[in-house]
Amino acid sequence: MWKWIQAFASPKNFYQTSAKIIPWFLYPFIGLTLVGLYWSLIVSPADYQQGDSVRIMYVHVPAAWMSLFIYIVMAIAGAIGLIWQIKLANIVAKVSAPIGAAFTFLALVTGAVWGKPMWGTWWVWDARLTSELILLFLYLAYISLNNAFDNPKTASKASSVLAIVGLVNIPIIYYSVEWWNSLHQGSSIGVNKVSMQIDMFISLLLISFAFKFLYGALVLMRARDEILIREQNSTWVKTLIMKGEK
Amino acid sequence: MEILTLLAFDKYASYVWFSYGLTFVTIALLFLRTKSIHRDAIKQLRSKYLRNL
Repeated sequence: MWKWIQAFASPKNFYQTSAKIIPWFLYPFIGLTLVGLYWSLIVSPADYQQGDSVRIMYVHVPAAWMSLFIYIVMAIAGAIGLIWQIKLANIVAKVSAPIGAAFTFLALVTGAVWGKPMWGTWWVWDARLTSELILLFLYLAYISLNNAFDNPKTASKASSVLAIVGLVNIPIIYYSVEWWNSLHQGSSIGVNKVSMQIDMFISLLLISFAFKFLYGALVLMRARDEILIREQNSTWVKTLIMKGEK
Repeated sequence: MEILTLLAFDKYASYVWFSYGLTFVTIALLFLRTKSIHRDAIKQLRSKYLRNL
């Protein structure tokens, strides 16, 4: 198993194999998005209190979940890169950051848009909202730090430490609605607990799986380009480019 | 016609459609940026190798 991981994690093998894997992420993303949109905009009912504004939840909540999920992946990949010096782990961490930042931005803006009709305001300095905003700043700090060094190894080390330290913000975001009095509603989904109508739950699941596949496809596509840049002195990259890789 | 009525979403239409529109734009930008990174990487490497021929 370890040998297989090492073989797959070698830049050349990853570059070749990932090209075949990308469609396995892209097509489920497209399919799940189409079914998810149908479920969330047509099948799913309006909420008895929030009316049709509840439909914002089907993009807001999966985007917020992705913002946490990608940060955890980024920190774990960074830690693997730091400990075992696996180049691919550093690459996954690096290319994940802008995608995570985009999902965090999406969660914050759709949250504000949902907050206006429900709370009467776009923004409050509430624990959940503030800690999610800090997550966006962590992503931006990671990207800036990674771009600040010319040497990719030094950049990976410095930014991985930042990502690992920033992990402390993840439980704060998750439990903020329990630890502090918050305007933000509590979690409706937990272990053995789903306190929402089944069609609403299905819509949430469909869109959140679609986002997971989207993330997988984008990471693979971006990691391939990062590999080409980092391995530009290798013969296989030179041959590939001069043969006319598009 | 019935679907159009369903998608009107009462007084929340602008909020709902803005959120879905922004999601679409964000995903589209992520894909476009990924494509442009790929194009730039290939262009940069090709010109480097041609210079060193």
